[in-house]
Amino acid sequence: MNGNTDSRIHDFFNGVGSSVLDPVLFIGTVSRQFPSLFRKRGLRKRELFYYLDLCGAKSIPVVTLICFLMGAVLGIQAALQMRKVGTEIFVVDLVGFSVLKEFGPLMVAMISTGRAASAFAAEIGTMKVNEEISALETMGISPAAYLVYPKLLAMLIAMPLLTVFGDVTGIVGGMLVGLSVNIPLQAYWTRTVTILDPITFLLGAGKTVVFAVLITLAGCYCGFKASSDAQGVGRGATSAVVLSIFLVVVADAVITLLYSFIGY
Amino acid sequence: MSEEHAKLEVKDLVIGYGDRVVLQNLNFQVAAGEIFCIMGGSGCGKSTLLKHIIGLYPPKSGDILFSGRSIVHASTEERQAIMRRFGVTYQGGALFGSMTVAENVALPLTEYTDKSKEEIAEIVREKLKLVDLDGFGQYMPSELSGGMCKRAGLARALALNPDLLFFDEPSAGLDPITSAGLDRLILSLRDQFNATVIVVTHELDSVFAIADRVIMLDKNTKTIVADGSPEELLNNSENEWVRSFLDRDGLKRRKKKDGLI
Repeated sequence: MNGNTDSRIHDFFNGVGSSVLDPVLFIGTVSRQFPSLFRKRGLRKRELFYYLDLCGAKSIPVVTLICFLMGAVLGIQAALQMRKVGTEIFVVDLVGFSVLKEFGPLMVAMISTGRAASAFAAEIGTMKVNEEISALETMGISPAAYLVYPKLLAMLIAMPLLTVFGDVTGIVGGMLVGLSVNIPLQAYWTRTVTILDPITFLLGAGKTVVFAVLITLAGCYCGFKASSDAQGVGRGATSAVVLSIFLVVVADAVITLLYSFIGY
Repeated sequence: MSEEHAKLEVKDLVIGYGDRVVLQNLNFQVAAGEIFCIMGGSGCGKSTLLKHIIGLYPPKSGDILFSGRSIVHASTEERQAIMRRFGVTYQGGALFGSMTVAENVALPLTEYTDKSKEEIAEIVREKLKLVDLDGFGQYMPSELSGGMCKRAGLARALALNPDLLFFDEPSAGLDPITSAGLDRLILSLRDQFNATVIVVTHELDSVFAIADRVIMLDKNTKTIVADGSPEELLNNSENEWVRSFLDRDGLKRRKKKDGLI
């Protein structure tokens, strides 16, 4: 083995090591700053409201539209199959459970990934380019606490609320499709409230709490890791979206599996 | 200079990124009330040295002492406490874009003092006046010129009355008149408040205008090749490259000869 190969192997393991260790160190740094939230002026309310608006209020139209269409598409596909065996009423079940347990939380997570994760990464990456992160550090202010927690709290509040919007509009989408296969609105509504209990909704919304943490941490991590140039910021934003989607899908699979163990 | 009186002391410092050593064998002291310039050609590691001194990066080896306390071996909390005694002005000002100028200047005060809103507003006004930005408090950083951003950054750096002021390339991107104005401001800060100032620059006019002492860094030897007042180094340095670097008249002559001016 020559020196060149040695160096490549060294670089490979260095790369693998840092890509595992760096996120762990980042999460450790952020967690260590958690108590600072409870000191005087620990939580910056203005930033919290700004991110609530960015990640929550401004996402409502797109969440409403996407989830409505998702509910309608699910309804159409279900109706096509159910019609063959004359069990159109089960369109309600399929749309209701799919939207509340899977597609509502997942669609909200995907929209938040596109809106929030990329915005977080770009914002922190740009702050890095402008030396604002260095300025915070030299003022003795932890960038992890100062920049991550307002975003994290906003996402923890916004995502479950967005899921409510997503769930309702998804069911409405399915309901309109139900009309086309001769399920009256009243019957559709009665069936919906009969089969869906609050636990089903809460389990779905509970997923978004995990998604909120993953999306925020992925977005912020990619921002902090971005190299200090314009291309680096762009790459950071792209990585944030890719990493967030990957983490959300993996987390969704794990949580769904865990739910299945408890009978949901 | 006795060790007890050194505001900042750098001992056997080796700095770099990853496996790469940028500068090594660095030893110098900065006295209280001194204006100390770090000079050298492009890419010699001036800004890297500054970032290590202010605690942004850990050195490979050696120590940095602020008033006798090690920055390198301090715990995170101790280091943050030391860093609060520093005021750092960055190349572009490093103002937070989402805050007004006044909010930027107020940030260290709201984070670290129990002062009332009125007291903080008064201090902010005072600091902005000091840097000749009176009346610009409600502007956003994007509405300011480059020179104004630097001065606003300086006002923020002065907010907690730091013991040690750092400037990273204060003249970069500024016209000669604005640059001279910033030099006068640095001198007045030293004269009025006995501030200790460390400036990273390669602007010769600024160095000769403000520096009490200069160290010259060399990219090839990766260390300090000269230490003294600008005039001493220009006239008496044994290193020809140092004399040539500091010789403003010689530079003009060479440019004229080459038809550049």
